[in-house]
Amino acid sequence: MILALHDIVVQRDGWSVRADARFAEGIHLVTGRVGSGKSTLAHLLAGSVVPETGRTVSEGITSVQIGLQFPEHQVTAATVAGEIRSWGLDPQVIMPETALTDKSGVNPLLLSGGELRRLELACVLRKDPDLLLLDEPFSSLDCREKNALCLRIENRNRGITIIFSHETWHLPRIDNLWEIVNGTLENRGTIPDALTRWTGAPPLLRRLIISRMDAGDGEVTRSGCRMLDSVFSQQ
Amino acid sequence: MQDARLRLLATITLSGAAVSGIPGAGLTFLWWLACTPRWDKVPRRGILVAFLFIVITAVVLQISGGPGISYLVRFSVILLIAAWAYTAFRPGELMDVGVWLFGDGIGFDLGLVGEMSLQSLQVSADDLSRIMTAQRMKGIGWNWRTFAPALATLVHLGLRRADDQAGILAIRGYRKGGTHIPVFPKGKWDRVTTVCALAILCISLLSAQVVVL
Repeated sequence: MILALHDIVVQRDGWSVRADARFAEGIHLVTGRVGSGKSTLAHLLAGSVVPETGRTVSEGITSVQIGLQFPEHQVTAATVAGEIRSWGLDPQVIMPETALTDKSGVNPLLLSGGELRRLELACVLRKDPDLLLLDEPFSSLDCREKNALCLRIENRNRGITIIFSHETWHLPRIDNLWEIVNGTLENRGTIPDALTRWTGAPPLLRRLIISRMDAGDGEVTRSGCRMLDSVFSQQ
Repeated sequence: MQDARLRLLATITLSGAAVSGIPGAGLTFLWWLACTPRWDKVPRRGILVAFLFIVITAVVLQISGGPGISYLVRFSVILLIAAWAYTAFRPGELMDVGVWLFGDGIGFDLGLVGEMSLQSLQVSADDLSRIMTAQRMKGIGWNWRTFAPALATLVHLGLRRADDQAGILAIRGYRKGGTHIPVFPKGKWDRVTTVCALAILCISLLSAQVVVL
C-alpha cells in the first residue's frame, strides 16, 4: 500500500505548499507551524483540493477517511445517535466508547468541543480505512483523551495513517516524521534519527539533542533520542 | 483596479449600465474583458450556482411572456462585474471606503459591518467546502436531504463566530464609531477605467430604454 505525491504544488493567495513524497504503510506525522499548509495537504490527499501542478498516485488504497480539523463540519444528523448512524456505525458500540450514552438524543452541534471531537474521531477510526488522514486530531482534547487517542492510533495495525498536527508532546509512536518548512514538505526520516533533523522539535528535546551534539557524543544523542522516543510512545 | 473608491464607483455605474438594456450589458461585457483579469481567482462554484438561479429566473420569465433572454444577458453581465468586485476586494477596504464616505461615526460602523459580513462570507465558503468533503467521506451525495443539515451547520458556525466577535468587540470597549485613517493605493489605469465605466453608463442610459421587469 503506497501513496505517492509527485511534484505537487498547491497555491493560495500569496502562499503555496510543495510536496514530493511517498507514504508507505505505518504511522506518519506531518508537522509544521500553524498556517504552514498541513490542512491543505490533508485535503489534497483526501481528494478535495486540486493541485496546480503534480499528481497523486496510490497503490492498493481502496478506502480513505479524514478526521477534519473542525469536527462540526462532519455533522450531518440532528442527534448523536443519528450522527453515528450517518457513518454507517452502530450507536450502541460508539456511544459507550465515547462516554456519550446519556446524550444519544442531543444535537451533536450542542456537544462540547471535546465531546464532538471524541465522537467524530471514534467514528473515523472505527471505519478503519486503508488511508486514514487526521487533521489536528489532538485539539480540544485533554491529556487523558490525547493519550487514549494515541493508543487507538497505535493499535491500528494496517494501512497508512497520516497525522497532520502541530502537537509536539502527545504523539503516538510514529514511523516517519515529515515537516513543512518554508512551504515544502520535507522528510525527516524515521524515529529516533528524525528527531535530530526536526526543526520544530519541542524546546526540551532540542536542547538535549543540541547539547549532546555539541559535546560530540553521537552515541549519547542516539540514546537520548531513544529515550525520548520511548517517552513519546508511553504517553 | 487598486483604488477601492473607484472600484466601488465602477461597480455601481457598470451594474446600472448593464441593467439598463442589452447595449449597456454589451458595453459592460467589453469593459469586463478589457479592464479585469477575468477568470483569475473567481470563485467558479459560487458563480455557477448564482448563474443557475439567473437561468431559472430567465426561463420562467421567458415562458411567462417576459423578457427572459434580455434578463439572462443583463444579469449574467452583472454577475461577472460582481465576481470581479468580490475577488478584487482586500480586507480593510470597506472600512476605508466607509470612513472616507461617512466619517468615523456611522462610516466606521458601516465599514465594520461590511468587513465582518465579507469575512463571514469567505469563511462560510470554506466551511461549505469542508462540509462537502465530510459528506463525501461518509458516502452521502449532495442532495436536498443533505442540504438542510449542511445549512444548519453553516448557520450554527456563523452564529458562534458572530457571538465570539461580539464578545471580543465588547471586551475591547467598542460601543459605536471609532478612529480609522483610510489609505487608498493608486493603480496606473484606475482613473482611465473608471472614466470608461462612467462613459458606458451615460451611453447606455442615452441609447437604451430602461427595462422594467
